[in-house]
Amino acid sequence: MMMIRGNSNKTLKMAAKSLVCVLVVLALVYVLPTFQKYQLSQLLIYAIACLGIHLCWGRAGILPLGQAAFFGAGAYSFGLLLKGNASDIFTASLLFLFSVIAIALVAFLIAAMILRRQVGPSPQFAIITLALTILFGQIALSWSSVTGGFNGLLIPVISGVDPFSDAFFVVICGVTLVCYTIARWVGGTPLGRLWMAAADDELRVQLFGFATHLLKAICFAIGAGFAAIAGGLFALHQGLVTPQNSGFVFSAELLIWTALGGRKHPSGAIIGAILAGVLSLALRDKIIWWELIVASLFILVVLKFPGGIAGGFLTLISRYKGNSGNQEVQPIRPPADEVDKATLAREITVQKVTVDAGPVRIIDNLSLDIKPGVTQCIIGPNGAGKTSLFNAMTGMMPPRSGDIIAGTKSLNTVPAWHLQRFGVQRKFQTPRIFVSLTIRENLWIAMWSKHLQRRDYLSHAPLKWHLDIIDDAAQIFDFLRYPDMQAEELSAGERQQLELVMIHLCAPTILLLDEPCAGLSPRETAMVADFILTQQKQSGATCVIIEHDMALVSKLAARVIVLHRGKLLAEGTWQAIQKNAEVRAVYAGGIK
Amino acid sequence: MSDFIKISKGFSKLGRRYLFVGMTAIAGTTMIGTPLLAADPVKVAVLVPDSGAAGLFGPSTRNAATLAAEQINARGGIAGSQIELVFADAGLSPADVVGSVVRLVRQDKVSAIVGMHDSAVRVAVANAVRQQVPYIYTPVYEGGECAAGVYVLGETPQQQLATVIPWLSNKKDLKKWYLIGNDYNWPRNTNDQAKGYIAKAGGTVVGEEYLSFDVSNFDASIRNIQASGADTVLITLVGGASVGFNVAFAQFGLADDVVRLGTLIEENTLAGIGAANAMNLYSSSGYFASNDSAANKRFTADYVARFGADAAQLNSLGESAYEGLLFLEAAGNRAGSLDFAAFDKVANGTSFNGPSGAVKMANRHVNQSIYLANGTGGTFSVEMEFKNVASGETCM
Amino acid sequence: MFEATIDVFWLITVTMLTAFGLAVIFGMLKVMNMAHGEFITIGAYSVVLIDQTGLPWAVGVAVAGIVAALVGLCIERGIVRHFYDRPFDTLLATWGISLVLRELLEIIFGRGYRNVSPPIDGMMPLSFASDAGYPAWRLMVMAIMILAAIIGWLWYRRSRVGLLVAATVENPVLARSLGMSTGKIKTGVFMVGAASGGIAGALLSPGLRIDPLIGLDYLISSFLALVIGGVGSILGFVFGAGFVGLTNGAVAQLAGPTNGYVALLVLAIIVMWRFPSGLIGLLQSRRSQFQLAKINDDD
Repeated sequence: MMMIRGNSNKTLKMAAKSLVCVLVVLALVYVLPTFQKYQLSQLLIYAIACLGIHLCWGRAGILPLGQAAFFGAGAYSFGLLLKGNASDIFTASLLFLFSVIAIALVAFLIAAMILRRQVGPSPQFAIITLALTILFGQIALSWSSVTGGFNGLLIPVISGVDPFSDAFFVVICGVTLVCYTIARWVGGTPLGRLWMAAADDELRVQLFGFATHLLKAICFAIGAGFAAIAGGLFALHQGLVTPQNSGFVFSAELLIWTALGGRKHPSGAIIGAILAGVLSLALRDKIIWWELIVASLFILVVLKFPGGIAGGFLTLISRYKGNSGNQEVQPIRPPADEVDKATLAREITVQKVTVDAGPVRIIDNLSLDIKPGVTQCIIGPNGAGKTSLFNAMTGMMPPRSGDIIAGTKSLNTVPAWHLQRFGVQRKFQTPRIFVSLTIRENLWIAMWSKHLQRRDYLSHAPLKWHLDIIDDAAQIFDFLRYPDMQAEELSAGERQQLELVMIHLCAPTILLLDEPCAGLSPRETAMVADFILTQQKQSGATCVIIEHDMALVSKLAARVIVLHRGKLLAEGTWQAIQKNAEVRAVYAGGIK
Repeated sequence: MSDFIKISKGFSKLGRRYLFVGMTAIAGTTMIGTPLLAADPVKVAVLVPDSGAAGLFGPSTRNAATLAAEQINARGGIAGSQIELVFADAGLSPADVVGSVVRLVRQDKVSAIVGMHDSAVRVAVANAVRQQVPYIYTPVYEGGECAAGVYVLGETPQQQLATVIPWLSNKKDLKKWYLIGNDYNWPRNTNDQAKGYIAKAGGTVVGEEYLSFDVSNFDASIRNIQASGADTVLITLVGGASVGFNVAFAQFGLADDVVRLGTLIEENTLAGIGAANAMNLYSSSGYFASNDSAANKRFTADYVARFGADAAQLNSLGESAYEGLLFLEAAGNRAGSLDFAAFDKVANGTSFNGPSGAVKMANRHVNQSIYLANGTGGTFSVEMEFKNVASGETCM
Repeated sequence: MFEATIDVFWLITVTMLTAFGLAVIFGMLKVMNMAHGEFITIGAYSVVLIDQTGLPWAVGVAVAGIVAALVGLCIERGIVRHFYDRPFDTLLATWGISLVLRELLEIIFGRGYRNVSPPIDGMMPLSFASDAGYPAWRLMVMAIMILAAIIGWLWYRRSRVGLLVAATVENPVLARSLGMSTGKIKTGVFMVGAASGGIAGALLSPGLRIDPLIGLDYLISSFLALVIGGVGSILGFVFGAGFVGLTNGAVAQLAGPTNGYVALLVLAIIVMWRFPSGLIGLLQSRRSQFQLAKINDDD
């Protein structure tokens, strides 16, 4: 009953919104004089390009300094395609689509290639896009036989297309709305959530099994596609394309308009482009120093309204509306995961591994075995190489020599997102969660790690997934009962616990826990320890825990490994280690 | 005047200038014209580079246009109606200028457009105006504009070089020419034409180079010029590149032995180059502020009287807007109105006398005087006037 | 050949002078200062002003540094200090500031080109073989730069202030708890970055076209030099400037200045793609591998 009502509510809302949009567009058509519709069309075209920036920058954390290159590419390629071919509306539309898709594909390839080697916010990628846009502008200027050089490329007239007609205006409005809807919708899909998570902590997303460089490349490609759409429409609107539409200055303007409107929300892109355009139109022929006014306004917005104008409005609105809370959705069980059971590993063999950081040798020819199915603790004084060992296992610190084998596969030579296939999950010393998402969304990403398939990336079904273990964990950890809280608001201890729960959602076969109780109170420590033990008993997974708290070690460990100065000092049961004279000599542990 | 004094006066001047601009704008955009018995004033749009790379020429263009309008109105206006100028920024991207032009034509209902801006904007504006109103393009350019409804007053490469190259070659015994310019159509077209004239004058081209706008270091080019053994350099660099190149050229000691001829070196560029670096620097143009013809002396006196002694420096580009309006007046009076069809019928054959002499339209371009000036010492001294030089264009 | 070398060295000098301020501010404060080019413009205009009063050029250079430092002070105190933890927003804010500065310069000085005569005229012969010479003032600027680099490096290495700055950059929380006023130190670093931009503009002014818009060119070229060399280390900066000057100069000699610029862009793309921490990162990893091999060979 609730489900049906929920669905019809949604459809009703969408229908109402669409109706409002249609009415607004019609109103504009009748109220505005021709040339203002013409100018508004131009601003909406810029807004579409800004939507691309919103997706890249506001969602995926990629700063696109070269959006103008794709805008120009879209304009030039569409113009050139039109030149060679018959010019009726149908053919033109096909050519338009072709040009947009081709450009998006090229953008995808470039981004995938480059981002493959970058993890985290990548100023390098931003600079590459900047260099590309400057190059493109230069080519557009110099290759005058093709592009028309400085004077630009004249676009052939298509019969039936008149940039001053109402029909043209309506088409532009329509395309803008479609792009806005796509941007809005994709942001709410699992793919959109993954983008935001990757913007927060890309490595964390990779460890959940996602090839983030491909995901980000998709985002970049969509952004480029929007820019190409805008460019093609611009060519029709102006009848002329010049190199100025491909260079750095135009890129910067698009960025500024997006920032002005608010880069986190698709409406911000539209608001920014229209506002900046209207301001410029209103002021520029009246006041000679209009650029000064606009620049000062811009600084003001950046200073006072970091979310831009849209951000400011939405904050106000949410304050009035309060937290509406999520509608009750019927949770569904995720489909069975399709991970090949054979690839799951239960043991790790470290063979003669050496890890250097600059001139310091951190791990020195270390060999040890992580036994399957038991909980073992790694202890040792600071600087012994414990976290570094985990880093080597998860590909963050590639060993200079030696191998780390999990089951039958080498761990240190694969990219980070393969680890999840082997069933390896890691919890970091300083908790790494996705702070700009809610607790619910954080849990989603962990669930998707195991269960998300290709067809699910753009569906809304995965937003309803729920696992029993979450309910179990919620009994122990209070904050899980408020899943709509921003993860940012959690305390350090709660973040530890959240990360722990998250990696358990992946049903891992090997858990690498780096000081899971660091910073927790004694009561919290006991809760966490119980949780780890209970889960391990149920799943039979291999647990490797780095700990300093000896009480915890004695409680949890079936086996203890002692590292010192990057070498294996001793291993055995807790009792045996306690009595080991060497260990006592080098290591004075603390007891909470 | 020293900048110190300027700065302290500057801010009060800013207020005055602001007020002046504000009043002009208000006067321009509302229906309040100079009250007269005649019909409502006719609006003329003037596209002026207020921003961007050519923003340098904005103030002088505005002033020249304003002066022209006032003088025309004092003479009775055009075809019996007073005119009222509406300015728009032509230094924006072509798309944005087109937006302004569309507004000017459709909402403000201007009867003519006078444009002082670069070629990309011209192509875009011509494409947008499409003979709804006469469109007069005034500054020096690359030639070849034959779009219907566009009337070009600007100097063409043929005009600037056909008479100048033989004369200068002869006078200074120039044999080896090096051509250097920015990489776009105006320099390339100019050089193509130049090669013909150089050959006819008995010279040879020993080098040709095109630089992108981003280049700010010209040492490599200067080395090339030295290596080529050239005794003349034909410069088609624009704006900052022209200044940078000419300064470096002189600092490397080439100015004494090698003659430079430029086709877009006006008073501001010369000021940037500096007196010390302007030895043997020649410029070919349709106008120089220091030209001491009677007509120009009158013009500059009027300019100073109207705008003050330290108004924006007069130069060929700014002054071209003045001539654009004079042409509009001449043709409009001949046609009896600014209606496009009537205007178009009489355009070819219209003539007038401007600050730089007699001007006559043929093939929708103009035959005009070309001056060759020497910039040695930091100010232009006109050495030769070539009267009635044909544009070389063959538009119908 | 000698001429080619000195041409390249001049390019390297220009890049080093103009990019140094950006390197300091970006490397130490992690602030992407989009208004960097405007400090250079301010420096050039300072010399224009001083030139008109008839005072010697050296005074102009000093005034350039002071004025630029003061402007930097205002910017840092007024705006940038709110953004130290928001790198995207510093980029936007400083871009806005650059727009404002450009407009202000236009209002004060007008848009016309200015000219400054060099402190020493004439040329110095470079070799006995040819009588081709090189502008003397450029040789002077190169000498000044080398001198300043040496003195600066030594001072930074040995002085207390250098230590304080390094500490603040390394671990600001700890530095604060030790009583260092990190705010003042950061302001100081920003002012130094600004001042060096101003001085660069002043030193280069005799060869520049001077108008309010020249800043943007230097911003992009400085930025490219920085990322190619590697951000955050002085050595990286030197390396980057050197490499940029070399590439630009060499390609310009061979294939024209336009291609020089294109080569620079392509180089930046390749370095960013394959060597994200810049060329200095590549060098350092090789160096530490080498060091490590040496240490272990001794065992």
